[in-house]
Amino acid sequence: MAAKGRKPESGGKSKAKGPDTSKVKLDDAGRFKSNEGELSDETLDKISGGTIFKLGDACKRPKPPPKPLQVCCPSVNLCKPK
Amino acid sequence: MDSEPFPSRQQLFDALDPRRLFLLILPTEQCNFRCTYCYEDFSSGKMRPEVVQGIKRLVDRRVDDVSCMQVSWFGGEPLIAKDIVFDVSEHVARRCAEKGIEHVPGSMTTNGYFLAPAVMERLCAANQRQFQVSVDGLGAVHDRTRHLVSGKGTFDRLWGNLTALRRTDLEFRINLRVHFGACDPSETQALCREVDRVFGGDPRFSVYLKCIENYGGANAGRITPLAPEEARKASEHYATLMPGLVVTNMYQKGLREICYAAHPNNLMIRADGRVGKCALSLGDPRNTIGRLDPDGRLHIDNDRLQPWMAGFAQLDEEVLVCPMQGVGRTPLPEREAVPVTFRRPRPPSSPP
Repeated sequence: MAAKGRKPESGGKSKAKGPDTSKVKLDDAGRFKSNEGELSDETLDKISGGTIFKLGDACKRPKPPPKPLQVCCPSVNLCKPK
Repeated sequence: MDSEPFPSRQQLFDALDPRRLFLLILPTEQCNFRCTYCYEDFSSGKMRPEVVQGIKRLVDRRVDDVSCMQVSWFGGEPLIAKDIVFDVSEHVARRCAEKGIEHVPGSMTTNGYFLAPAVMERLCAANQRQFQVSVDGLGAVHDRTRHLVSGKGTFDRLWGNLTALRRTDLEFRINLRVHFGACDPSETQALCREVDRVFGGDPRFSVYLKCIENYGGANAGRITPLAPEEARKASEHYATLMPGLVVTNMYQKGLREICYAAHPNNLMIRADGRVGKCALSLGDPRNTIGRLDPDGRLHIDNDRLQPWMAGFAQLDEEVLVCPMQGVGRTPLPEREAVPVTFRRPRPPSSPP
């Protein structure tokens, strides 16, 4: 069975461990661009172990469909009881 | 075994996909309950028509560039403002159908008091199908901590709604949030057994076990939460009492998620038109990143947005799971992000 998980960083660099969101900006409709360097496909491919999914190209997004929004995240103590 | 890395590629994709739009809407920040551990201050009233119009216009502006949309509800008690919930949900359902957009079933955190079958039927028709409802105990045990503003109990009405829903064939999912730690363990055991007896075997119902915590706000000093290890053991024990249901708890590693508040494609729209990220830290000015205008235009202060995404660069698990932990380390703003132009409604003197 193929090993799961992220490949170890090469060269001991700690930068670019995850996607760079520092340039993400929402416009007046809440849109943001992800395929012009801000969240590079290369970075995400690296994170995903080479699986092809490109932000901004939803046709190739992996299944299953997204889970419902979890308003009260169970991992955190600060979950709102209602 | 927990072999999937966190965050998984699917989680990253969900969080950062620009072709999704998730809206978390607070149609009112008033509540008919006054739970003894609640952190909210009920400072805003029902959403004004201009804000409702703004949300619908925003949806209209995005239907040509999104592949997937979801609307979820929070409050206050969202079903106090069920006219808004119906109006917006039905609008979104219609627009998604017209454009062939994937309409992810919406979720709602509700106290269940108004969640009667007729309400559920209309919600399901608009693809609002996921619900979280809290139960603290049976009868008077529940009423002690989850009562109306008037002090009157709520259990009978809630239980009546849940059992009536059980008898329908509607396609919903209700996650019963079973609280423990605020009453005697024997009372929680009795609740678990009854929940299993009444709802066990119906896949539409599940249980999430949650220890009562200190959530801040005016009730902060009244709560003495169980120690984490004690709460974990209690969760495991209570789960054994409900063999007929899927039971989860906060200590299960596999349930780790990137919080919706970290997702740039997820926006919280408050009752007064403010745009924020986190449904918990409602009183924190860092949780206001902009506002929504009646024509559907967003005014976002992107400098305020950035800290919410701080966990992505280093895949910092703690900050991805709860971005407020990162945001909380940033300085408090000296001015309001984007001035709210709507006149804030005056809270009613006595909620319905």
